[in-house]
Amino acid sequence: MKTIKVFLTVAIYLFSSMVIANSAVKTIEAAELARAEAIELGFEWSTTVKLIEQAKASVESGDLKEAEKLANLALTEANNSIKQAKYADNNWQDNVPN
Amino acid sequence: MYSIFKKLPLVSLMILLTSCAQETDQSQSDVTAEIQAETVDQNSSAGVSFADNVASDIKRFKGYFVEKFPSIDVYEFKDGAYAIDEAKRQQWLDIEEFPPYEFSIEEGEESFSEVFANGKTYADCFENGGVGVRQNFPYFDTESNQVITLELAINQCRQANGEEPLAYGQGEIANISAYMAYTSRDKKFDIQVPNESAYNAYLSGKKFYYSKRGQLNFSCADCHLKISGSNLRAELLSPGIGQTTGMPIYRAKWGELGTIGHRYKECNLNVRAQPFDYQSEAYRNLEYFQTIMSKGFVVNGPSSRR
Repeated sequence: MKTIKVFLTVAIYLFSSMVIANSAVKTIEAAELARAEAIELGFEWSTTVKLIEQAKASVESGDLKEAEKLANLALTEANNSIKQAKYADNNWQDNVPN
Repeated sequence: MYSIFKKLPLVSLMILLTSCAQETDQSQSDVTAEIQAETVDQNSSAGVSFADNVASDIKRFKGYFVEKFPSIDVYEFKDGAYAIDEAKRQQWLDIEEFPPYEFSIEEGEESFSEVFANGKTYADCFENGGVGVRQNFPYFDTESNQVITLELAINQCRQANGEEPLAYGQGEIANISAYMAYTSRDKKFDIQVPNESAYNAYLSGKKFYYSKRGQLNFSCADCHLKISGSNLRAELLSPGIGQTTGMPIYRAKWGELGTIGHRYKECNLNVRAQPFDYQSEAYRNLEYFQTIMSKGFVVNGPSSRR
């Protein structure tokens, strides 16, 4: 019975680690895609690539929670820079002096 | 550490959404009309005078600074923020008595006189032997359909004569640019927009100038138009008009000369936007727009800034 408990605990731990790792990697991939779109639009933020690099480094070092957190920040930034590009495209004339 | 990162995008998003909501509420119909007008200008070659549109832009741009700084002759803004603050101007004039870029001009002259392997020199590539021509740059080349800056022309000259291009930004190319500017002092800028392609390049530069970018959500116009003359920490924000006339500049914080492309990169990084490459189309078009806005200003480069 004790052996089964230990086995289950290890199995659950390994499974949850895999889920978090998979989630972090997928979020990093999503952030990279969004960043590529921001670059294409000419509105990439200088801070995004650093977050992606830090997230990747955290995956490498096994700190998966930190990796997920950083990847989510990078994704949020990249999406915001896309929003900024679209907003600028439609509203830049507002800043022109009359 | 990461909590800072976490907060910044949220703040930026809030600023974006707030400004979005405010702008939408304020003048949606005006904005739509302006976009439509701009689109017509951009897409139609028939019945639209590019020259008239550009002249109107110059008038509005200059008029903004005339109104904002009524006691200052607008052409004094060739000296940047030193036209606004008398104490800083005096300090700057003292520095200009023995300018920190003096040796760079001499080095630039030496480089300019370099004889290429094929026996040609820079003088063979430029009108009037490259002397007194700074005011003609950047120009729109109707053959290659692109904006040619002085630094690009310098490297095109090298490559046309079998030489390796110089690295952009600082160093030898900035020295050569400085020497060429020095030989052109007091000549007036009057950059032309010769055709529709040129006008589109101009509009691209104009759009860049007025578009907010970076994590801090700032446009060139935010700092150098709307809040020009205000302090950003210890620095006085220079007005956007006349900014290109003193290039290349020696900045104390750089400790050497830098081209306008170098300054653009620095500005972009300051607002946490990823800078473009030197001599990218975006930066060349921006320089084209900015120099056109400084029509009638004289060349006073190289110059020094804090």
